[in-house]
Amino acid sequence: MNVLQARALGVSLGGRAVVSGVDLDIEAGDLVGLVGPNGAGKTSLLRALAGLAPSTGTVSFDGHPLAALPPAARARRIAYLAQGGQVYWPLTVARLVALGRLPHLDAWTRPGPADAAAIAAAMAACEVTPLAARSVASLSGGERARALLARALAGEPRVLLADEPVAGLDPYHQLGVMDLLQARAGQGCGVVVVLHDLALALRYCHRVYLLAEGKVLASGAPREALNAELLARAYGVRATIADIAGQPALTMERLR
Amino acid sequence: MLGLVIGAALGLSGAALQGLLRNPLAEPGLVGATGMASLGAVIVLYFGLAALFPFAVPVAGIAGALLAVALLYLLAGREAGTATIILAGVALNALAGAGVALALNLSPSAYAAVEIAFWLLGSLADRSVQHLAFAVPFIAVGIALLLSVGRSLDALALGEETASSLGVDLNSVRLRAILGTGLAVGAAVAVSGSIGFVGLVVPHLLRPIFGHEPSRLLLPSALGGACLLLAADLGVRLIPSPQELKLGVLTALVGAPFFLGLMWRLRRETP
Repeated sequence: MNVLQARALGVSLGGRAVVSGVDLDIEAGDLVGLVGPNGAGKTSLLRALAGLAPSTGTVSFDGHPLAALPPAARARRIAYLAQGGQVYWPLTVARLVALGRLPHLDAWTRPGPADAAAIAAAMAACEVTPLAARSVASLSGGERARALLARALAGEPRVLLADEPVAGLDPYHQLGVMDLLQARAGQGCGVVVVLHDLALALRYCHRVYLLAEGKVLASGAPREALNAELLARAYGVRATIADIAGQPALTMERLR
Repeated sequence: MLGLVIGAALGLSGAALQGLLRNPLAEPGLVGATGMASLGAVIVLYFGLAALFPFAVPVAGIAGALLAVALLYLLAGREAGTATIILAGVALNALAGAGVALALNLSPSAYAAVEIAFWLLGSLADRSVQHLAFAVPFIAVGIALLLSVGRSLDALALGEETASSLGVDLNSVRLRAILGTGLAVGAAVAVSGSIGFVGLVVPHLLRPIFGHEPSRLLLPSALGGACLLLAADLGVRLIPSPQELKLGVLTALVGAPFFLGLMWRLRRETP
């Protein structure tokens, strides 16, 4: 059963079509990768799926149009983890994660026990509980990425849309974040993740969408959608995919 | 009493604007509300309308602030980012400053120029219950609008995109915050002249105590602003001086060096 579904989705920025004719299906428990070269429209597509950007075509959640949902109801169902994840005030980690509960509160109600439990669970899952009292400004890149992910999970979303959550992280922390996303998908959340690291996409994703110039060039199982011929067309690279110690590994060189 | 209300309006507006613009240097003056309110009042003083109709100055001040807010919203547009809002505020302040300078420049008599200049300095002296009755309703509506956006301002700490993904209606928040600031600051400036630094310093002082979320700062900033202005007003009355000290002068004299010191400390803490 599809949770999130897009049909003939198009997004324009400044009069230029950056995404067009995209069909996409996310099921509960899915870990779906969005890959493609810079400027392929990955972020625009993700924003449209989150209901944050004006788009043409349809996006539906549980079979109902997403646009018909009030913003707070949409926010309770779909969490969006922005690229870069800037935090403008030096909040403590606990208060940062608590912001993820905003869709469940109105302007005047105070957070209740359910909110506190969800915040504690998200912090525990992302292993940031020991950092609760630390200022976000004092965190390392890996700690910060986990804290921001905990913020997104605190709202107990049914779909998580993550824009390059492993950008700028060392390999250990990249694997840590991908493990977290995998675990969340295992609990029934539909996860969509924008990735630049094709090896991570091959290793973790159940399905991938390979985007190029705003269109879906290929979709399906990672090994099929990310084969050498399609990667050459999308990126202009000659890719060789092999298995090392049971894990996919890639080498690439530029075609010219 | 008037001091308490005006201090609350200025402190709260400062905290709300800092949250909205995600900039710790934001204050009511920044969006042009203070400047345009001053310009409205100065125009009335220049044409001598104040003598004809006792409430002309407050009315013109509020009109100026609301005009500033309306222009700001038109200039900044519905989808504008923080940079656009700040630039629009800079343009409005330049316009207001030029208008005030023109009025001083063309002033027919030295007496009128002095009247304008003194009014600009800011004071709570000789303000009657009538002034209070006129300013309070506008300030109250402004304060209510500003208090209603607290949670949404918290979400803005994560940026506009993420705030929007948390279900925050950005346009509604901007409209309420800017309108609230216009009403509260316009009414306050119109009655008391321009009193600076309250909206800037008070949230800064309270941040280490109450935390950095705008929603935790709004109410304390209103109370803190009220306390600060009350203390400054007492200071003005108690410090012996040959001429009456103006309230705006005192808050600037005390506030500016304090704020510079604060910035110096912040700069050393964050390399």
